[in-house]
Amino acid sequence: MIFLLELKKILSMAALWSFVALCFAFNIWAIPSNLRNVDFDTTTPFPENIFDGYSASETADVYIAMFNLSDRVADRMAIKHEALQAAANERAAEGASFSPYLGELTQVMHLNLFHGVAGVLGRLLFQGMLLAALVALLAIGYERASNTEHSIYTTKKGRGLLRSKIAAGLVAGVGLYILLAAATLAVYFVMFDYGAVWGNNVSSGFNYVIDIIGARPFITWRSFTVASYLGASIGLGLLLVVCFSLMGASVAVFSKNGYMGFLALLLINALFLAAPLAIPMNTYSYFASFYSPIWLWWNSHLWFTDGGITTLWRHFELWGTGFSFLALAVTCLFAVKKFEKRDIQ
Amino acid sequence: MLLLDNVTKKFGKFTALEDISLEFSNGVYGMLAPNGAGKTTLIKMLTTLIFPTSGEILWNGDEITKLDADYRDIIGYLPQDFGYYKNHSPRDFMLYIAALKGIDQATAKIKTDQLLETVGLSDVKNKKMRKFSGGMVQRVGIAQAMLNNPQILILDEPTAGLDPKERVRFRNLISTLSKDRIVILSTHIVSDIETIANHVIMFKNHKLLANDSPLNICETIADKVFETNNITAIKTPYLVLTERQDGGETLTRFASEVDCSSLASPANPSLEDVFLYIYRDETL
Repeated sequence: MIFLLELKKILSMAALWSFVALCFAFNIWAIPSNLRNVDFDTTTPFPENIFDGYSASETADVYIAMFNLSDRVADRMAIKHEALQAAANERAAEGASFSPYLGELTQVMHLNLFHGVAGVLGRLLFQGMLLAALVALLAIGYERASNTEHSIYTTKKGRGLLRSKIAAGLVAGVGLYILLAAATLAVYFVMFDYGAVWGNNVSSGFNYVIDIIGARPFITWRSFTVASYLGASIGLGLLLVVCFSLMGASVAVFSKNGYMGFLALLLINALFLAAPLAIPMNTYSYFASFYSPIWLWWNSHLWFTDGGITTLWRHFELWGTGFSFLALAVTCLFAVKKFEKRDIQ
Repeated sequence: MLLLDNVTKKFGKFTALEDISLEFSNGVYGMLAPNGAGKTTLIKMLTTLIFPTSGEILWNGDEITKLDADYRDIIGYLPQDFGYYKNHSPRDFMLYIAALKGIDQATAKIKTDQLLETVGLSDVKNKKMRKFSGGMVQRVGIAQAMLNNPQILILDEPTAGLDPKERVRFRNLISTLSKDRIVILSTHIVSDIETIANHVIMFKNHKLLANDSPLNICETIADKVFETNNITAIKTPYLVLTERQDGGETLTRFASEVDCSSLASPANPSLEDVFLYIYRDETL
């Protein structure tokens, strides 16, 4: 009951809906117009099996030499690439390389959809994260902004209301992300007909990753079709949105007002983003610093792949999101406990 | 019974209230002190918004922080500077507060309508509060405080910002609501307390100064209050309490430690006299 009332309060904020509408309009505007009327070749298979004879250890050796990795870090990098070799062998056996996907435009279109910063899903995820954090800040700061803290927190529900606010903020944040994603992707898939490619393997020979050492095959740890890769990306994105909701809630409890809370959130994420610059590369901490929520978003086009030079361990996206979720859930619980014992001035 | 046992509240190095012991049973208690004396601090502790640094507050023998929701279930609180949702109607706001007070929906609707009737807001119960006057907002405030029929009703500066007509109406309302419960009223408007309180609590220098009936409190400066239309004739030290025009002359009411009955008429001290006398050194 209280949860629904809090949810209603959040969803009654006109500013929130205006922000969602602006995000949607931006997402549609940002879809490259030069690709809208292109006929994609969705029938011609890639001519060779690029995973046949692929050597992951060669990639590891290049990374190790290029960045002069210490023995300990180099060993980890080699172990990761051994596992990647096994995944490449599986892709070779299933013939993933022959998948036509979107022909010669596969890589461009794949990034157009999945890229962390420049892709549709990346933008959606960023907006979802921002929305979730803002909603949490607004939900928890609502009483302070309305000057109703004294009436509200002296009722029977008392400070326990904070839990309902956090839950309502979380549900609203996730809900708005789903709504925004559904609306944006619906328009996207009307513009680009994926009807023939949903079942194609994303590790098609036409698809590749470009990083500091050049182009590499797009190798996922397990076999993904375009549909399942999209689903997995949206699903994991949801968990990241939840992380930002928890982050927003934790910050909101300790902030004097919404503006300060928002600034604190910006600062925290700027620090996370800058962390790799401050940590020596030949340490595990350096690689662990890419597991923060903001870096997970930045590298979201590499989800379910080896992650390139920024990660030493398999499934960086799952571990990163999992750790972030746990850490933020504990932080949020701590914030709730602190709030229960804190003076409300 | 509500009991404060040696309660002290500090904010860092600043002591807002020191070693306060008080007992409340049914009746209207008026807390009278200048701004900043610690009235709101005490009220915030009574409403569990802030916690004592030392000492304890007990309701029927149990510490209120341990009673938690059970204690908050029996209090009604109108905060100083009562905040509300501007886009809500009084009815919607009351129903929301009722939900937070754990009142079931059906009862909440009945109770809300009854209370809005009591405070004279029935005709605007579905109008948004954005355009309400200060008096109307205060009436919503008192109505929401009464939703759970509280055993302890706490009102912090309830008449602040009200015009005289609204103030009288408010006093009458509080008087009506004060049956069979503890009403704790904080104000620096003496006439509010004089009218409705049967106990007066005063603080000075962040400590409890008095806790007695208005009559007994007034007795503390009996024989010290005088009136004269020729104040220049008074040569002993005195404190001017009030001045008023009377038949074309200025009648000065003053307090003096020395008997001035030969030069001025003795007067019965009022609560306002006591207030001005006690807090003569403080900025009011």
